[in-house]
Amino acid sequence: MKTKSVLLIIVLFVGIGCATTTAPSGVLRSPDFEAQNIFGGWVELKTGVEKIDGELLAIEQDSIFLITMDNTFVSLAKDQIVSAKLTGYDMQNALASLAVFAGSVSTVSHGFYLVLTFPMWIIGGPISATSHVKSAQINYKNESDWYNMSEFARYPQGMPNLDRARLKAYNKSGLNDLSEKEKPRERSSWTSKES
Amino acid sequence: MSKKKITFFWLMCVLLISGCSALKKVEKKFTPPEKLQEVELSNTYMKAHMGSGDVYVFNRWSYSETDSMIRGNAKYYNAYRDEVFEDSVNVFIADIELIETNVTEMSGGAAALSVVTGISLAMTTFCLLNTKACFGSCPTFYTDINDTLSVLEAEGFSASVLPSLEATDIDALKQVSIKDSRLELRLTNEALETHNIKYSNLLYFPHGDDKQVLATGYSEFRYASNEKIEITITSETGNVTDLINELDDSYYYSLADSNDLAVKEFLKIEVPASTDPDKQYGIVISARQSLLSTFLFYQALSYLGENATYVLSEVERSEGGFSERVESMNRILGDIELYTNGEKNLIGSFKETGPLATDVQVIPIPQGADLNNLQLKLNRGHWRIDQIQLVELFDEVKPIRIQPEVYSTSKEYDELATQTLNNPSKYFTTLPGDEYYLSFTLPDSSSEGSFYLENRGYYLEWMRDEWVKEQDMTKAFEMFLRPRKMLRELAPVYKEMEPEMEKIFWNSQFVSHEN
Repeated sequence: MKTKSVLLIIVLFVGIGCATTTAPSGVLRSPDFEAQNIFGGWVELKTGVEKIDGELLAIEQDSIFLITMDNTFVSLAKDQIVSAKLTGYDMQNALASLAVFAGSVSTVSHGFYLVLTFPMWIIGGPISATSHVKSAQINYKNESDWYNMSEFARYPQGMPNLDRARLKAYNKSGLNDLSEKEKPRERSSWTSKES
Repeated sequence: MSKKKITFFWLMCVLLISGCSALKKVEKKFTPPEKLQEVELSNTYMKAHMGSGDVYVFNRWSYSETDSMIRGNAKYYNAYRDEVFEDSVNVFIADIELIETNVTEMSGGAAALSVVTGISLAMTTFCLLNTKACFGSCPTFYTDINDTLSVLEAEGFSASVLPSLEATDIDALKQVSIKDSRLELRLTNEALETHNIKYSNLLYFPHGDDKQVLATGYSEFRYASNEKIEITITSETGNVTDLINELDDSYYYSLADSNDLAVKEFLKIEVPASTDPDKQYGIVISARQSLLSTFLFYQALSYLGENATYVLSEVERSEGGFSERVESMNRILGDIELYTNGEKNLIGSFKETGPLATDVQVIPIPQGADLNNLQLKLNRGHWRIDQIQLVELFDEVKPIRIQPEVYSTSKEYDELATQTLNNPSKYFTTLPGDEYYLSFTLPDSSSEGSFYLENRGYYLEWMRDEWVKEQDMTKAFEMFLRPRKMLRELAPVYKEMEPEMEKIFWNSQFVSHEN
């Protein structure tokens, strides 16, 4: 019975991990940082012939734009896509699993009430944790999901005209990497830097 | 509370509270620049997405309607997401394509996890502060219905807390699992106790569907009809028939009196006029104790503190007087007694110790007794009654007694354990955490009938640090010598924890104890 319980716990914890993403470690930011995040969420697309994933750049009327981790710019027609999954920010799998694990372990302090609280944790805990983890993801089911996904694009306003060859997924470079020519104008018609 | 437990408690609190509070989801809100006035200034960060793909991330900002400009402090990134500068800026609203704000809030999953955490931490706090109420039981027997659901069937000899109090306990098995003519029970030791089991036998009564076999509480068994006779049961608060006319885990119970834990209550039983005076009837009671007796027992051990071993050994050596005293409080709480004609004629009683498993017993009513004035007398807050029935009783019946084979949790046959458990001159001893399977082979393949478990033995409590700290020998001896006074004195202490204990124990929706 103990072995069965341990197996059950493992299966349930793995269940939390089932809300997976192929995003490399560190590219997705915590929910608290999302207000400052300037990059897109991680999108995983499947067409009839291939799977492709990367940073979501923009979603427009007919197309979806992303950039892979090897900095290849990809443009796909929406009608080519069979399935799509977007992970907007860090799903906190580890934290959710830790909370469920700590909760389950804490029931040893419940004496014979453990027969009530331990099942509560091993059943309710992973269900709640999985529900939380999945709140960071959007799966394509119908047209409105494209709109919801576009909110997590790098360019929610749509794909701008730019040099696509210069785009980098989750670019970490700063001002110092730019040449003087590349730096933006000090003043423009649309912005002014206060003196 | 020991330092280890305090550390454990705080570690769990920190892990759970920080874990749940850190679990958030993000809600994004996009606003066209012409509706900037709709954006709440309370948003710490605001992103202004430009048509070129550039973005300003404001960490402080204000909106000026007069010159249609956003002023504030921002980081500015170009479309390639190179950070260009961080400074005070003025941005014309007309140049902005889209304004983005983000709100982090607790997700539905995290909220649910917080509720579970709240219940769990309340339970942890309660058990650490009231250790006596949470730890402690006796040999516990389960039927495993499947890999995840177990039914608590019986708790063995709960009142036998000393070798001298060794007793035989018979419990009805209500939901058995039989495969290939073998009935299997899981035996566990879930408390800080040493369990010494002299034997653990299955009592099997083969019969058809039209009847049942009921235990009388005096190691007698009677055939009884399965036909339901409608009765009406009234408590001091009104008609409670609907609550206790089925064996369905919905219990009638009252709370203990606030000033005196020994206050009694009555349940009146009205039987139909159609009962035949030439037939013998019996009142069947399916019930278990509340946590009141557990509380009092552990409170007594707590008052004895370091002297518990000495005093209990004195009880062992005494000729009866002292052990009688020790039992006095339990006697005051009493059994569920069936009377006719007020409190004048005691017909019989339901006696079962322990708060976990419901037991089923019948109290036979003598032929010719007045069935119109039946009433049950019981201690308030001491019992949880699942069902009360009136049945017609027939002849006494003897059981087929079946000894078990013992298997380990990995289902390997344990010959030594089997020989020990089936040898009446030896004790089969289990320690905290031990678990075995008892397998009983039935003599026929039909497997129809009634089943009871017959246990004999005793158990020894392990003293705990928390109990020693409440040591008070005066109060300990008052519990033995002046039990009525102590039942009044301890009433407020018990009442303080009673609602929480009952709430958590009885309102749980997660585990089925038995059907």
